Amino acid sequence: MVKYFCCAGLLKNTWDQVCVAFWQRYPNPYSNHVLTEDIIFREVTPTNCLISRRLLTKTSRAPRWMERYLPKHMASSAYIIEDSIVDPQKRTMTTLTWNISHARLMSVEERCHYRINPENGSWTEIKREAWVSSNVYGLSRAIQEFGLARFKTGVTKTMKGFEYVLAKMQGETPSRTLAETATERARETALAAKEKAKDLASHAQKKQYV
Amino acid sequence: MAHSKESHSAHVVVADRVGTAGRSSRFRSSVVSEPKRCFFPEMNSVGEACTELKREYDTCFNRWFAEKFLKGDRSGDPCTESFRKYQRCVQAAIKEKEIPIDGVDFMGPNKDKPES
Repeated sequence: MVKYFCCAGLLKNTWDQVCVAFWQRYPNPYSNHVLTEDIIFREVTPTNCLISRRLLTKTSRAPRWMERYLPKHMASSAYIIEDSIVDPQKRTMTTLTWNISHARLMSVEERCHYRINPENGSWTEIKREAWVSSNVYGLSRAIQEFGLARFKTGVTKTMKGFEYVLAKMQGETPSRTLAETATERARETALAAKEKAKDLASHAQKKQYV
Repeated sequence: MAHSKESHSAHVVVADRVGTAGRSSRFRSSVVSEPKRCFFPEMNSVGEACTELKREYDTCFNRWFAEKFLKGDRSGDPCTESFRKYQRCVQAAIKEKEIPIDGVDFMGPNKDKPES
């Protein structure tokens, strides 16, 4: 079973600026969970597209109800790969991001497509899709809910991080209140998701004893 | 969620159970040729010894990407040497840490995914 999610985002910056920011978006105030960043492959194709593979390590703290089911030795850092294609002729960028660790516990794949906003040539539209799946017997639904909720929180942080870096690149001082509002909203989403996932997990547990 | 306790005072050093070093961001001191980029914090490499090589390469790449690649200028890539040095270091670190990067085609995982 796979949970699918799709959303659209908008950045009020040109596609060029967004692409430049894409390579410089870490660190930012919303990315404290991203520990390391490395380009591990890069090439310009014969059709003049830039293809790259980026390796990220992120903190991977599971909620307490999930930690009980994890093997004791499981690392608390997660490895993530992000592949991207930048096409300067078509003015599009496509990215694919997925975790290469903890994948049997939970797998999250995200595909993004960046293009010039058709209504405003100075803006950039981001179409984002995600697939969340888990194979843990008896808990996959709860884990998928948790994964999807965390993904949505992550999208908020990603967009805020982008806006922050874009503002800095243009010499502006990003507003502090922007950061604070984002934190609040992220916390609220996380809390709601935590409750829902906890609920699902306790239902799953009850079923085991029937 | 437990992990959303992170605060937004930046540069929290995290030491995890496995014992690998935590992240410490550091502000890069100003470089004369790039006055606008003073005090831009930067990321570490997964290979602790590779961080300087990574930052050197990133600086070269970011300039080439914005000033040449996106503007359709196909004249040579000035970053091949710094890339080579960086890759030699980081690929060794990846092997040493046994990070499972092999065996997946570029853009591979999404090949069979249904469209929205």
